[in-house]
Amino acid sequence: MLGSELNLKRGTWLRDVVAEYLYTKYQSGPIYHDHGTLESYHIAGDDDYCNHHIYCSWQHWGQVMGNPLFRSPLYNSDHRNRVEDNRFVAWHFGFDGCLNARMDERGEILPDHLLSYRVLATFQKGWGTYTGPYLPVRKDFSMMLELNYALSHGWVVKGALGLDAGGIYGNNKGFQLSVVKIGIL
Amino acid sequence: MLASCDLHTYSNGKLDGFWHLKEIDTLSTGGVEDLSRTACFWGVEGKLINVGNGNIFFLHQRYRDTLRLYHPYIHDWHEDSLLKNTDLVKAFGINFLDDRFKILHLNENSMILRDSLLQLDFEKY
Repeated sequence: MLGSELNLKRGTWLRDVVAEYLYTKYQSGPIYHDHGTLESYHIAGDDDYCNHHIYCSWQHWGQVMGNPLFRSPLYNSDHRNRVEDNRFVAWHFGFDGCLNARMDERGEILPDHLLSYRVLATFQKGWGTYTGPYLPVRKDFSMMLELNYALSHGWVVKGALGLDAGGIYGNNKGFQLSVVKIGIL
Repeated sequence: MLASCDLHTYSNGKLDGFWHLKEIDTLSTGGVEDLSRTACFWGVEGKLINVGNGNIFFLHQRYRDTLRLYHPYIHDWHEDSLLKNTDLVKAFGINFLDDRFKILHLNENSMILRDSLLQLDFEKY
């Protein structure tokens, strides 16, 4: 995984930018071969990230822990507790900023009545697993647009739209509304 | 306490990896079998080539543009048994227990092999 993050100290409409690249296709090669009666050769490939031959996958309540791009067992139509897609290449981008920033005399953004936004987008190409490959290769695009309005006295209202499109997670849309109080009520 | 381990490194260059057999051409008839939506894979790593549901293995040797697959066996956990015929591996384009393919093309993304009966077209997966 390669990632970079840029924080613009004096930025207003653009304050933070993040870009990440994740590659999990190579998992020590496709073969796991233990010592046998004809061949004593040992190859410890087919790592099968987040899965295990005996135990269930690396998950909690069906959601993979650590990275959301490993397709969680919660989405499996066959109800198996396995990660169906652990060989993938993904690109993730994000940026945020303020739409009506007002500065104080020191150049700091005033928090009251501040309208800010955040955009996250992920492109993913999945090959499935070595033992259960996707045919053909599946592609997916997920994104979220969030608007955040800060009221007085630490109250914040947030609205977010999210969507998935493609063959890994299917086509989905969602909306989230949050009312947040920062500090003591 | 004393401990030791053996570490063997083995590289087959561009041949290493997970290959999807996407097309089989029958040389004598010119017939083409499309496997682009069929899970038909060869795994190449170390001195082994794996086909089937992960438990059929061939040893392989490569010399210039020739790839030899030989000594096929079924690996069932720690018990191995020699493959007596090619019934289980014909679907993977292998018609001889000791098969020699000419490598017509090989790069990071694709491979074409040909023996006396078939031409096999692979994509790297």
